[in-house]
Amino acid sequence: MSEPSDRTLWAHARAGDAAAFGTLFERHAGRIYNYCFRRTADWALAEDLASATFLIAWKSHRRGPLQAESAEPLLYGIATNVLRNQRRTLKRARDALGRVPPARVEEPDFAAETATRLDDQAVMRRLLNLFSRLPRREQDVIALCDWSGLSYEEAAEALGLPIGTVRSRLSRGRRRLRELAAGGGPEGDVHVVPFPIEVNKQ
Amino acid sequence: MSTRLTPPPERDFPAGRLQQRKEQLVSQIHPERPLPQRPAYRRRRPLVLAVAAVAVAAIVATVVLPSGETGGASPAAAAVLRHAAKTAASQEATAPPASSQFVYTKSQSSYENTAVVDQQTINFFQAQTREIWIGPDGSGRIRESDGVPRFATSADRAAWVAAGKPDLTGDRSGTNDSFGPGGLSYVDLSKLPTDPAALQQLIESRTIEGGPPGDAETFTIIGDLLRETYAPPAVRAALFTIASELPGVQLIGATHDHLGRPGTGVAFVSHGLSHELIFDSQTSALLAEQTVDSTGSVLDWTCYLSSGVVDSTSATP
Repeated sequence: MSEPSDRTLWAHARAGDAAAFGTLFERHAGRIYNYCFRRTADWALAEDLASATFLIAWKSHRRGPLQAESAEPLLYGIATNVLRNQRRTLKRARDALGRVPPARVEEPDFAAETATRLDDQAVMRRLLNLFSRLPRREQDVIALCDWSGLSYEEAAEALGLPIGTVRSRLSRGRRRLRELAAGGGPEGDVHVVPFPIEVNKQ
Repeated sequence: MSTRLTPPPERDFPAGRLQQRKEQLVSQIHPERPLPQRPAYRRRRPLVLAVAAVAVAAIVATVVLPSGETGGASPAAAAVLRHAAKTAASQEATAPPASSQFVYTKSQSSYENTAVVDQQTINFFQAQTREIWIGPDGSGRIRESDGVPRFATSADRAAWVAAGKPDLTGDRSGTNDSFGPGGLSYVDLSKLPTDPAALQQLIESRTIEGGPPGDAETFTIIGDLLRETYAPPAVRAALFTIASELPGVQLIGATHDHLGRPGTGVAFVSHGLSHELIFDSQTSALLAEQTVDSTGSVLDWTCYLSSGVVDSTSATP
């Protein structure tokens, strides 16, 4: 028996079957969660952001059917907006969803896992320190295509951009990032913005 | 020197928490239904005053401002915004926050919310008071307290009474969270160009804040840079100038915010919703904002009460 498509689940949710939306969440929460982590270097915040993404996806698109077969481009697009607008959107989503108390670190099984995740955060934070020096528009395409494995087409759909724009931003961003990683290098035609671009440098 | 350019491996959503999160989310999913009529929150917009504002704006436009550039905003809105730019430009800059200081903003707001009690959907407006302290390194604190909900319609109220008058705000009487460096998203406006064309280029290329292209998004970003930020007068002047040239910006004119304070409003309509910013006519400070649907119902509003640079996350100006 094959699994129902995202579009089918979405239609069921619109017809009143809230559990269908729960299935959509189970299906995609992991990927959106990891995407949010890679943009923030904070696992706990990533959880909040991932939940908020699904809630906002529903609230903003429930009036119509899901256009694509897969909900992922929509979800990545909304996650990108949520990340960008944390101040504006996370607050309301939290209000609506309430909060899950933070995981307790004392539990023995959890300790090793926690250490690994703290390491992840340190690694990711170093990378974001560098990454945050790219213009936000280039950060978005690199995070979607290189870090989350979206195709050019999917990233274009998520960001509402032409494919050509995704491609050019990606190549420019990758080049800048390599130059930054190599320790700056001659700026030449590489335009490094003169003020810190805000992502969540943690 | 080199830095690793690949993120750490993906991890699973913590298993128990996936279930909790799912349950929370599912409880918020309701089938699509028509928006209720909400007579309670009509916009406060005295017609007489609005007409007067247009007249004043017209005088400002012809007397104070050089003609020629009419830009994209409606001429009346453009005139008001250019006047606001002039007001801002004449103000003296205060020192930007030092690295150990915080930008403080207190606001009061109300927004549409939904609760489900015994399978019944109850629409109400949640009042909230919010204080934010945000430092240049992104550290800070947010304190929010919930006020008394107001029901969207008498039917919503009746449903709430029938359900035994449950507490709609749940167990969240408010929040009070502190954030380490990077926990909040600080935009350093003190380093932005004050030349309108240069600033416009940075906004429209989505360098300061990312986002889709389009004038509606540009209007949103202008609002973002004005709310809960330290914005030097010259940057505020440049932002008003950019707004005055943005196609689609319309004049509301003289109006009052939801606390009854007088101001001048401009609006941008997108997707059937009017996003409105209300400024203090004397100082050009952002006084309030609201979102209004096509029937005139206010979906949410925020009034800014006080702001300033302070030395700690427990200090207020």
